[in-house]
Amino acid sequence: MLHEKQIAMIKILKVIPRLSILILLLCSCSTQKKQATDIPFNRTGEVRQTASDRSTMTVVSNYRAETVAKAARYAEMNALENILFKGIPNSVQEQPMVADENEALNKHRTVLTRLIDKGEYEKFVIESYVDYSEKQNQYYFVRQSITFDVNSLRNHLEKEGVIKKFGL
Amino acid sequence: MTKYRYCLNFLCVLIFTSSIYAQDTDQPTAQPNIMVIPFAKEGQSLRHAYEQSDLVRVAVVKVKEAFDKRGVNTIDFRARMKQMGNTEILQEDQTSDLKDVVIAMSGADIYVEVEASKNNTETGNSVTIIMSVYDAFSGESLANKVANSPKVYTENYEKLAEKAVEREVENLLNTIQEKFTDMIDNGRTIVLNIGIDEDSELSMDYEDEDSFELLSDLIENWVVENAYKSQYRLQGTTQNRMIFDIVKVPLKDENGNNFRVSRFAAQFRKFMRDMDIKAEQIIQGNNLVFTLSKN
Repeated sequence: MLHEKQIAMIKILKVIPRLSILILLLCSCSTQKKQATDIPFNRTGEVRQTASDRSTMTVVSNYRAETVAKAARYAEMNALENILFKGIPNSVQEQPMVADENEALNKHRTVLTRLIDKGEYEKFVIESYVDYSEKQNQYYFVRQSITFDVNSLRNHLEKEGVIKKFGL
Repeated sequence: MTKYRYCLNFLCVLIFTSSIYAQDTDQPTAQPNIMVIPFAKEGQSLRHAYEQSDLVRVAVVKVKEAFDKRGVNTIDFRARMKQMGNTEILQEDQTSDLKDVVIAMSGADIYVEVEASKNNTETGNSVTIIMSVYDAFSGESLANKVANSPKVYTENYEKLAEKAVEREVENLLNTIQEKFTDMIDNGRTIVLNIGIDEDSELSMDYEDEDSFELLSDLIENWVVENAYKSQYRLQGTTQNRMIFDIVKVPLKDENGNNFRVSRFAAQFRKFMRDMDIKAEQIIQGNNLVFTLSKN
């Protein structure tokens, strides 16, 4: 004759497999929210000029990120880096403002980090708005329109010694 | 050990302070003088080209404005012409196979030539501005831009000229700056024009008694040794003339002072004197003209 405790154990052991299957079914039916991976900032060439006048330059810059605000910020940084280090074809700034990017980053890392990453560039942004945005899978694509005061930006870089004043 | 450490520290302080002192004595680099002028056809006066066209006047002023914004003072060609007049330099003392006429833009190291034209079409009017930048003495082209205004149904061509210049003038200045950077790295250009006095028996084929080398070869060897990084270009040699249209000289001499073209000329004169040859010089900006004769 089995002990009462032993009978209870047998009952529990019989239930466990059925319970496991139930739990498994419950888990597989529930929908899991997919997390969008953080996109780090990496410069692209998707910047073009839309307008310019004596002292300013308006560009549109495309970028993608997890939120509209982040994509807009990255688009601004992208536009700025293109003006500074690459130049923008068919624009008033076809040559980069900073002739040698590597040398500038080596010699003036603090100034450039403050300007680009820490947002000091906003002092030279006259206008910036989201021209167009749409959700693409987990990310937001943004086309940002930014008007830069290129004159003041150049003066600032000259004062900080990042670029030379015009001349020999 | 402590004495050694004190000596080392003293040496470090000495080197540091002497390097600071050396930096403080460096002269600021002499900047080139820039003049903006209207395009003028052969035989046409600059003043006439400027006064006859509103478009050209607007374009010239807009280009000057762009230089002003970058902190560069430009020479006003009309004011300078009032002071000095148009000058032609004839190399009168030299035998010349061709008639040589040199037009010197007084005081300017670099000039920007601006040409403007209207374009009338059924889809709108526009203005084309051609901006060309030259070294005044070597004739080297430093930058060139063609700027087109947008097409608009308007007769306000002056406004279109403004828009055209605005589109490209920054790129023009940036290209000039690239050439300036090249000058800092590779030196600036001077032109060396060496001719023989027409009354002299000397010629470029004259053979040196000591080295048995031709005068033209000796001169070229000297230029190789004295040009900055040995960079030069010999445009041509005849019996009576040698023209080096590009000879690079540094911006600064070994003492950190602005390099003087007159010093280069003095060194050449001394070289000639060592060969018992007299060298009369004319220096105009970066253009050196020597007339050689036997002593």
